[in-house]
Amino acid sequence: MAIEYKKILPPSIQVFVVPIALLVVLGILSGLAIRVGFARIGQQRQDVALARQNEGTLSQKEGVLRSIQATVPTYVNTVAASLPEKNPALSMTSQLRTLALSNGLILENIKIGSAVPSGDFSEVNITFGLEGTSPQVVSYLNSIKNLAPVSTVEKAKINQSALGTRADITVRVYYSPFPQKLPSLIEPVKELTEDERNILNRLSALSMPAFTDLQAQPAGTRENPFD
Amino acid sequence: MPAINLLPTELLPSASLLKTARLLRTVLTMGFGIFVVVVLGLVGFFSVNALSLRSSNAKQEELKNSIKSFEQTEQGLVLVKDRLAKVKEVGAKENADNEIEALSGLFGKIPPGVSLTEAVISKDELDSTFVVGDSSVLGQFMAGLITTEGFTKIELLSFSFNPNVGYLVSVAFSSK
Repeated sequence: MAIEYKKILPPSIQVFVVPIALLVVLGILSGLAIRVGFARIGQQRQDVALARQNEGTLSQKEGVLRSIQATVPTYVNTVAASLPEKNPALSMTSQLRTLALSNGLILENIKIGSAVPSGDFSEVNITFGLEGTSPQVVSYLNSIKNLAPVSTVEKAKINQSALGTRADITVRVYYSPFPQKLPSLIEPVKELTEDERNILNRLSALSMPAFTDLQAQPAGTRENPFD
Repeated sequence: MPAINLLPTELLPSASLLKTARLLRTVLTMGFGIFVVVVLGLVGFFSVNALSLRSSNAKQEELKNSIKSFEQTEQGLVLVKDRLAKVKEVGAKENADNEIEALSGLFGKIPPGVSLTEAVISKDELDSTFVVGDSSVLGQFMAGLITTEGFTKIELLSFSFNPNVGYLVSVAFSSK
């Protein structure tokens, strides 16, 4: 083959055959290196950057979760009692009754309305009557905001007569289902903001409903099984 | 034995062409050299990145396992944030807190001889009626009304006199 091209081509061209062939080979190899090598390295650098970003996010998340591990259960109890997932009308009624007793008021005609969905919440109105003196009633109204679960006084009508002061009050309580999904594992977690901490402090100061845990009684022998 | 070139001299390539060909070979040699260096550099860079990626992935797996062990804490935090956001929404709803506070504040300013006979508290208005038994405390009572804070408007709805009870003063406080 080498002999053949030497026979065909004049010597002035023969001297350029090998360099030009090598130049073509170098060009092809450089083209391949640029197209394949640089593309793969570019992709790999993106992967490394993403991996480092995810690593940073996970590291931050782990740090935050580790630091709040001890305090979160207390926060959970406070917020769950302040805005429960189920209708809190009964616990609120108990709270209103306890508050009335501590203020020396008579609470009567308690009516619990039906739950009305409103955006993320459901709202329930509790209406009731109060009897006592005017300062006691006003003090009572002013104290409702210190009760958990959170509520709003929708309206109140106070009337004074010779028998004393009577008030008809409507309080609205709220509930909302608990979140069902956890964020993705690589999603960053945010610590509580200053605003959230303020709300949490306010909720912590609320008077929580008193729940009694009834312990299971041990089995005992009954002399008369029909008693 | 020395090499003998039997080609006629006119068939040989000219000296300038030979020089060009030699220069081309030198350039090619340098080009291949640079190519090899660049390829080696790319391979090295690729290897370093691959190691870094592997190490980062291993660290991520380790962190993910650690985070999974804090799942209860994460659930708690998600719940706390959700509740706090919703409590804030409830707090932003219109309510009668301002009106109740105003009425409570008024009670602190009411001089002896003045009593509340009726009050209607709604989300943005407080209508109240007071009985003022004596004209000597009327001025003091009205001054107390005027200094009530947190309302955009305080309106005197009615003012009457009943010889049996005294002065009847109806006032509307509006925060709208």
